[in-house]
Formats: sequence, C-alpha cells, structure tokens
Amino acid sequence: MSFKALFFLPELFLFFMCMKIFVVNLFRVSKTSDAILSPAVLSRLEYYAFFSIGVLLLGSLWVHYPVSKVLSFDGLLSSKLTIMAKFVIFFFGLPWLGVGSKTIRRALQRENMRSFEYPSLLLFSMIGSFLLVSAHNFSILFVALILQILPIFIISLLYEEKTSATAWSARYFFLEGITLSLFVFGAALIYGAVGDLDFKSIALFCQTLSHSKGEGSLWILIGFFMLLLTFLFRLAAFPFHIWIKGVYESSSNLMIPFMAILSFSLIVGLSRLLFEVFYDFVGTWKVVLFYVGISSGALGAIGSLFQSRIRCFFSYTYMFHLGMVFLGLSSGMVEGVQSSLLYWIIYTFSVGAFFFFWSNLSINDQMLERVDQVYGLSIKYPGLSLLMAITLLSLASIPPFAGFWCKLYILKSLILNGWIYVAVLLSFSIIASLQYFHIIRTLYFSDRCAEIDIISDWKTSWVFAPIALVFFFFFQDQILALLSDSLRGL
Amino acid sequence: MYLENIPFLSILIFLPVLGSFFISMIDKNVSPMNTRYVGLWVTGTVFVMTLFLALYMPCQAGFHFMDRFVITQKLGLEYLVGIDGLSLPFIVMTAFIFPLAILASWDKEIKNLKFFVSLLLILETLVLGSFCSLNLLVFYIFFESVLVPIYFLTSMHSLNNKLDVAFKNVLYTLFGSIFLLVSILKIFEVTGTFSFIDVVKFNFSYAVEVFLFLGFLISFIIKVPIIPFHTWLPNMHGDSSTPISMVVSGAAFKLSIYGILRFVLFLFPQALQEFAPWLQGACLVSFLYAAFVAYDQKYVRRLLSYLSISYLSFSLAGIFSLNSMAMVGGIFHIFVHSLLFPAAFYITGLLHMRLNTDRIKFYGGIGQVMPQFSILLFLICLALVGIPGSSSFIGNFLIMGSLSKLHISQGVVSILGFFFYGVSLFWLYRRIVFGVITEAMVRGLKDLNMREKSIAGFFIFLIFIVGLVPSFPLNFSKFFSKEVTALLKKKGEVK
Repeated sequence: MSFKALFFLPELFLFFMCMKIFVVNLFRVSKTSDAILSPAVLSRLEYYAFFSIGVLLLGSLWVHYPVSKVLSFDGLLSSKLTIMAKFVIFFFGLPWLGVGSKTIRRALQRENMRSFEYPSLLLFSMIGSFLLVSAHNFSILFVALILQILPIFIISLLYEEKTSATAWSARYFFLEGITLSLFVFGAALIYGAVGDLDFKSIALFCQTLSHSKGEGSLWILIGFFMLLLTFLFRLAAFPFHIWIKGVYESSSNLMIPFMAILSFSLIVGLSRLLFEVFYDFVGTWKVVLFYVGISSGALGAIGSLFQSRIRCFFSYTYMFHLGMVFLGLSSGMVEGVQSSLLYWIIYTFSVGAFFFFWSNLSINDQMLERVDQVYGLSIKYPGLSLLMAITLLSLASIPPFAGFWCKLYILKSLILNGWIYVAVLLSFSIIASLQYFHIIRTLYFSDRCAEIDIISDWKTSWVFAPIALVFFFFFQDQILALLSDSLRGL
Repeated sequence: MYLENIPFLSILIFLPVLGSFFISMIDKNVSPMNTRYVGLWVTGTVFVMTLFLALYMPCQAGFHFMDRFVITQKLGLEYLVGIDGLSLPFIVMTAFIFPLAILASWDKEIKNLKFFVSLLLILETLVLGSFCSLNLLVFYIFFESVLVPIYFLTSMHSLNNKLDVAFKNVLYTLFGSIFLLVSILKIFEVTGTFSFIDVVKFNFSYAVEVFLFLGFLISFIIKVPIIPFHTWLPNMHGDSSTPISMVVSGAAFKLSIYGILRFVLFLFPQALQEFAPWLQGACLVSFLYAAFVAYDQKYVRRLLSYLSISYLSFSLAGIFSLNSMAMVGGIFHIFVHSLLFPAAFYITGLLHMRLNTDRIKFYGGIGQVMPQFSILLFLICLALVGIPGSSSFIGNFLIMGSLSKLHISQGVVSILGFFFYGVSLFWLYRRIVFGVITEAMVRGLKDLNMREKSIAGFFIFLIFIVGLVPSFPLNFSKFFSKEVTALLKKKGEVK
C-alpha cells in the first residue's frame, strides 16, 4: 500500500467494522431467533476498542499530516480539514450506533428498533459522510451523497409499527431523487464546459473564466446552482425545507443528533465546493447564501415558537441554526467558514447531549414525544434537569455558555455585510431562544411532577457535555486554533 | 498595599458562586436551615470584604484592585476587573442587600431551598462581576447572564401568573441586549478592543458615537426601566416574593443604571450633550406618569414598583441635566434607592407573608393589630417621600433645586411629580394602616417578631444615618459628578 492510500484508512476501518457487525450478527441471527439489538452485536469492550482505534487513527493522521494535500485514488483528497471533519463525524456519530451505551440501546428497543442491521447502516452512512468531506471529483461526491442517505431510508423502514416514518421516507426518497438528478445534470453541464469532473480542473477553469469572461461561464454557473440546490435541499435550507419537519417527526429521537452529524459533513462538503472550486463566483453565491440564511433563520425562529412536540421543535431550531451557519459562510471569508464549522460542532454536541438525556426519560415505557410531558421533572430528578437546562441555555445562545460564543463569532463575520443584518439576526435569535425557555420552565416550574421513569443510568460520560458547554470559553482559543489549522489550505 | 497584591476582587466576585457549589453538595437529609446559614455566611463574608475594599481603597482617581487574564486571544477578550469611585458604592450596596434577602426568607416555606439559595448566590456573583468588569464584552456576559438566575427565581417563587411574568422579563431583557451587543461589537470594530480603559481614550466620530450612544441607552433604559418600557417591572414585583423583590430592586436592576453612568456618560460625551435635554424630558415625564399611575394600583408591590420607577426616573432626570449639583443629587438618589425600596418591599412583604395576599383592600385597619409594624412602615414612608433627615432628602433637594434653577418648568414638573408621589405613598399607608378592619384574618394578625423588627429597624437606622451623615455616598457622587463634568468640559460645552 502506498503512502497516499494510508489516508484512506479511516474509511476502510469503518467499512471493516461495519461488515464485522453485519456478518457476525447475520450468522448469529440465522442460528437463533433473537434478532434484537443486544450487547452481542458488539461487546462493550469491542465498542470501546473500536472507538479508541478510530480516534487514534484519525488523531495520528492529523499529527503526521504532510504539508501538502494528499490525493488518493484520483478522487479522494486528504487535508487537515477532511481529517478534522472525519474526526468530528466519528467522535460525535459513534455514540448513536446504539452499541456502546446501555441507555441508547434501551431507547432504541423502546422505539421498536430491534434490527441488528441498524448500527451497520449508520456506519455505512458515516462512510458516506467520510467520502463526502474528502471527495475531490463529482463522481465520488455523487456516490458519497447517495451512500450517506440511503442507509437512513432503510433505517426508517426498519421501525416496527411506525408507518409515518415509512411514508415520510418514501416522500423524501422521491424528492431526493429529483435533486440528485439535478446534481447529475449540473455535474454534466460542468463536465460539458470543462471536460473534467475533478475539482482542481474545474477551479482552474473557473479562474480562467473569471479573468477572461470567456464563453461557457453561463453553463458553469447553471451547473453550479444545480449542485448548490442539491446541498440546500439535503440541508433543508429555506425554501427546500418542506421535508424536514415530517422526517424529524416520524423518525426516532436518536436519529436527530445523527442527522446533525450528517449535516456537518454536508456543510464541510459545501464549504469545500464553494471555497476550493467555485470561489471565483463568490460574489454570486455569497448573496444567495445570505438570503437563504436569513430566510432559514427567520422561518426556523418563528416556526419553533408554535411547536409542542420535541422533534418538531428541533426541526425548526435546526433550520434556525442552519441559517446562522449559512450567514457565516456568506461572509465569503475563511473566518466565516471557521465560525460556521465551530457553530455546527457545538450545535451537534448540544443536541447530542440533550437527546441523550431526553432518551433516558420514559412514561409507561414509552418515549416522550411532547415538551409538556416533562413538567416538573426537576422535582424528581434535579441533577438531570439541571444538565438539560444548561444544554438548552447553550442552544439559546445565553452567555457564558458555548452557544453564545459561537453566535458571537458568526456575528463578527457578518459585520462586513452591514449592521442592520446583525441586528435582524439577533432579533431572530431572541425569538428562537424563547421556546428553549419554555422547555426550561416546563422542566422546573410545576407543582406536580410527571410520572417519568429513567430507563438507565444517566450519570455517564455525557454528564461532562453540559459542563463542557459551560466552560467552553476557557478552551475556545485552542479549538479555534485547531479549526484555523484545518482551514489553512482552503 | 497588601490587598492590591492578592486577587481580592476576584475572590470577592466568585466567592458566592463557590458557596453555591458548596450548597449543592449539602446532603438532602441535612436540615434546610443549614443551607440558609451557609448562604448567610457567604453573603455576609462578601459584605465584610466589600467594607474592607471601601476602607482600603486608595484615594487617587483611576481603577484599583485590578485583576486580569486573557480569556481568548482570538477575540482579544480578557477578564479585566477593577473598581473605582463609581463602582464601589454599587458593590457595597449589592453585598449589603443579599444577606438581608436571605434573612427575609428565613421563615418562609421554600420548596427547593438549596436551589433558591444557590441561585441567589450565583446572582450575587453575576451582579458583582458586572459592577467590576472593565471589559465591555465581559460586562455584557455578566449583565446578560443575570437573566438566568432571575428567570429561575421569579418563576420559582412568584405568586400569581408567575410563568408569564418571568417570560416577559426574558423577552424584554433579550430585546434590550440586542442593542447592547451590537454596540459592543461596533466598538470593537472601530477601536479593536473591548477594554473600557482603552475605549474611553478613543474619540469616536459623531455619527458612530450617536449610533453607539443610542444602542447602549436603549438597552439600559429598558432595564431601569423608564416609561414606556416599564410594563414588565410592576408585573414582576407584583408576582415575586419578598427576597427576590429586594434583590431585584436593590441590586440586579442597578446594573442598568450603572451601565448608564459608566458607559453612556463616559464613552459618548458628544452624543450625551446632544440628547441630554430630550432624555431629561423623557425622565421627567416618566417620573410624573409613574407617580400618578401608582395612585390607582390595587396591589402593594405593584404600587411600590411604580414608585420605584418614578424615583429612578427622577434620579436620571437629575443626571441627564448635566448640571453638576443635579448629577450629585441623582447619583446619591440612586445609591439611596438601594436602601429605601428593598426596605419597603421587605416591610410590606411581612404583611404579605401573614395574609397571603398582596391586595390593598384586604389590609385595612392593620394599625389596630400591628402597631409596631405601622410605626416602622410610617418611618419608611417618610424616608421614601424624603423628609428632612432621611437619606432621600438630600437627593431630592439637590435635584429639585438644580432643575428649578435650570428652568422653572422643570421645577414645576418636579414639584407636581413629588405631589403625586407623596399622595400615592400616603394613600397606600392610609389604606393599609387606618380604617375599619373588614377581614377576619386581619384581626388575628400578630405584630412583628424580634428578627423582623431588627431587620426593618436596621434598614431604617441606615436610611436615617445616611441622611444625617451622608459623607460616604455623597463623596462618591461628588467625585463622579466632577469626573463627568470635567470630561464634558474637555469636549467644549458644559452647562
């Protein structure tokens, strides 16, 4: 194996684990009738070994990364950005496989997710995300986009007694088909003009075009917008957001943090596309992203006010936070990308922590669906309520929690666009934060306590997540330095 | 000096939050009184520490007891704290109110006492941190974070439609914070620093100064509040319990006033001179309107909150007149407000605790069954209205005299405002103390116990002692007024 192929090891590693889980359990299931997700799918020791090897592998790639970018197999780029993105995807995505934590496993069982294929499918989706962040030509990007989402469709079909998931999955599948065909058409238009699908060739071509105002710029531009549209649809940005509420509502609580991870890979992929390939069109796309960001933020903030179901609420707040990320990207500067990536990492982390705690709660062995079901939780479980409240305050961007700092960095990058936009954005952020306060007051201010049970021990390593959100400001320089190091080659 | 060599100020700021960690570790089975004792010891220690600060603070101008460390180099943000003649009285008053608030909740049945005391301690840290911050963004963080404990405290122990009140407070605070954050970011864009010490030396262009001035001002006057941004405060006091009203009126909402004095007056002198007459007019209208509206209130706390708005509006009218004497009076008035209104909320809260209602019509004839209470309430009412010898007399005299000298119409408005203010107050007193007892529950009321009398007496003692020997707050007020006047003179125009 050549040196360059080493950078493909994380994907291979995930694929190996995925096949291991899949094949071993296929044999196991064929021998017994017990097809449920159980520790036997992957023992705790195996899980932690898997986790540690993955972290070490990506960490060592980061540390020993050469100065220049590495292109393996003619289509997979390895840079500090891609390694960092893979690390984030791996680190934040792995807990949701349902094989390590007892809590998440129990929560999956309560949602009637008993299929042993579940973790393998999520791992497939993670491989898709890995490919997405390191794709260096449109063919790989297309494969990555499909590989990322296809397992999620299959997972939604695996839920027993959840027909709405299947229905939404079918609708989303249909819409996804249309946008992917647009992607292919856009890529074909670009190929027609450039004669290559490689990002570097296209970037060079765009550079030449911008200097010479040559023929073909229109086709490239149309092709680019078709690609952009695919990303906007996949990310559920306004006005392509119609699927998000239904999909969130019909999916599982545990899928929401995982979908935030998928969005992270999409944001990284989109940033690479915008800054590495189509940077010569920056004047055009920054305007589009700005208005998409403002509209998504406004819709997300206002829509979240009227939601009483937890996943619907998070679907709208997701849109709001996505709007913030787009606004960061719309600055057209690397600092904006840095702020956006930081923002999304913290968002993913916070959503993960919140849903971990939320998944611990049940009434009559049923998952909680509505916000008002947790009334008075603090009476019975003050510690858990406090951790949830901290997470929500961070999501509401209240200082000194991590969410506030991330918002501040986005605002800073937005200053160049004009003060009025900063003020508008802040107004939306206030509207968006109100519903978080609503959840907090439901948790705390009730004379009675809901008959809630905790299904498993919540005092796991997740307890440190809200604490990290509180003390984020101590480490933000180091985290920003890491991000800035990652984005050096962008 | 020895105190200058240790991070005394940081210890002072963060001691309450450490106390709250300690409280959270107290075992469930331990008597709830221990939580109160811990809270009292911590807040008491902080108060004693502030007295040390006051005793050992050097007489020179500038900031003292400064501590700093860099939080993030990326933003150029550093934790920078220090105190001067302006912040010291605010710090002392804050530290004074918190132990009394804990004492005021001594007999009260509180559901989640550990949480309550912890929140009070966290709030104290945040308020002290705001008063000591010399970095604009750090000030914003402390200032904005105050929202969280206040939200929990008002929601936890409020009386009627508690959730909506807390929610309204959140909404107003967050709305106000937009302007503040945008202005702070703009300052950073223009000057490249968040440090107050550096920003104060910077000369902004007129347009930028007006933009920043309005941003800061709107944010702070929403939280003071003055009319028409006031609607959340009467609701909040009306639905909060006594200790929370004391803390809110005596310490937490002084932050906005402090913000006006520290930032609006010092950083934007050109814009201040331009807008001062308008602001003074708005404050006088607010003073008159709030005093008038107070008369018609049916609930004690709501009435007191309107009087509080009126009182603070009058103080601000004095400050915005930019006349040195009126400014001294205005600042003195603000310090005294931290004594008077917590005292008023405390003493009326004692009635509320006994009768479980805040409605004035249930209170008639209290004087027959609670004579000691009636005397103490009368003394507090006298102090509130500013009888000679009481602490607010000096402020009233200085402001009213200076305003009358500036323009007769201002004097007329001041006198009219005080007329309504006094009528509202003594109409409240009459309805509580005199008249025929109509409610059976009033007949069975017991007069104040020793602890209650001691706390109320202590308040009254301080109110009158400050009135008779006003040198401590008055010196600081004079010092501050001198600095502002000098700054305005430097800019070329002073009245």
